[in-house]
Amino acid sequence: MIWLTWRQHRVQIGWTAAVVLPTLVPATPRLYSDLVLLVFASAVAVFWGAPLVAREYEERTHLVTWGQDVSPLHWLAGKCLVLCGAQTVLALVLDWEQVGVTLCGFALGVLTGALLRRTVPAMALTLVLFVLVRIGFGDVSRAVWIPSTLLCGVLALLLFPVAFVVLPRRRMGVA
Amino acid sequence: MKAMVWLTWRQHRWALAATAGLVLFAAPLLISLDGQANGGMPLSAFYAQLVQTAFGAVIGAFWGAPLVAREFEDRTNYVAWGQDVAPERWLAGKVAVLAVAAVLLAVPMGIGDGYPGEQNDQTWAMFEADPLLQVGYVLFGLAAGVLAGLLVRHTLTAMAFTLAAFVGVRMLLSLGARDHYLPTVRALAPVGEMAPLPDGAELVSSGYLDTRGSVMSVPTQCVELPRPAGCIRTNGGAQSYYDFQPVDRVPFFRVTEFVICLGLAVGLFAFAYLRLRRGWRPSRAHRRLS
Repeated sequence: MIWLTWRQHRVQIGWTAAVVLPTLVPATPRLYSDLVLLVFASAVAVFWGAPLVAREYEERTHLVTWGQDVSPLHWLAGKCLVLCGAQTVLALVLDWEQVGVTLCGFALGVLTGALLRRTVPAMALTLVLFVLVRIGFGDVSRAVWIPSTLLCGVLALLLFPVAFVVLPRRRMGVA
Repeated sequence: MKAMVWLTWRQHRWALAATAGLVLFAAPLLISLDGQANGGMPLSAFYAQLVQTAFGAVIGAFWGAPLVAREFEDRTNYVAWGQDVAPERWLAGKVAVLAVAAVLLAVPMGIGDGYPGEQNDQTWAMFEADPLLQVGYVLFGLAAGVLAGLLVRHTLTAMAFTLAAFVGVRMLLSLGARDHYLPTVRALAPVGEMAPLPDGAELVSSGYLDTRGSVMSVPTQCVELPRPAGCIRTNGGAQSYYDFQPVDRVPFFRVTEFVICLGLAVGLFAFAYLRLRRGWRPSRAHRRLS
């Protein structure tokens, strides 16, 4: 699964790394770094998370991927392992406070995609929900003095199991 | 043409409804915050700016980019363009309906600025809070998305490219071009003193003039000094200058930026239209599979 995930997502990971890594170079304008920091978590949620399951349904490749030896759970675990690892490394490059936020967005995207089963609507809904979560958690974290990244990390820990419970229970949907 | 309008409505009504919902949520918030009496920039104004910055990108990525790319990806282009309607007519019909809808949604987004206590809507800080300008951004985003989808033929990639292109152009406009739509006004002051700028003016650049009145660079021996005024005077500096844009130019600058965005949009649409009229060939991946 790790090899498969890497093969399927290496272009996506590569593009994201190409956007993120220039922020390590001291000569990069401050504005560029700020912009990347602002959109990184949302971009990962929308472009990595939401299409992960939704695309399989939409292009009916889920019949192939989950109809063989690998169970949906095993498949999702492999995908999440590799992609969460990659996005954590990239988030650490930016700012350690991005890690929890990014994982939360990714989990939200995966779950939305599993429920909606259509890529573009799942991306849109992920964006809206994630913006609301970040605004809400921003207010909460200022009120209770807990870092927003920690709150988001806790939410991610709740959302991932939900995705793992939801996915195998969805009908394969052969219409 | 009537059939294309009906078809576009049928196919895109959920996308239209979702975006309309977003506008119905955000626009009243922006407008209601606008009238409140309170100084300073609250967090709501920051979110408002974020919404007004992002709206064109959202339209471009979620309406524009999938428009042609999805047809290629799902191979429905064989059906859509294989019948009475020529591909370029199909594109024109779709874009016309979506552009009108986008314009109708962009106008309320530009009315409020979410900045309590600011009675005057003409400020450089809230430059984007303008219906006309929002219309320009939305049309540009839509055009960029449609062209990206036509060239890339892959929905996700086209959406990402649209986002990147939109952000890039917006940053070029707002950081590079916007300060120079008209030549700046120059205020002069004795070396080391601040010239009194009119209220709300946007300072573009400042520095020193020599005795002939031309701009001079700060002499190297003065750069390190904490108070360089005396050093600059002894090295030939005669005056300090401050180049600024007065606040009453905001409406003209907004129209200028709208015209630039409209021009970009028309150019990109025209390119997509002509390219599709030349016909299309299945991509390499399509040929391999068929």
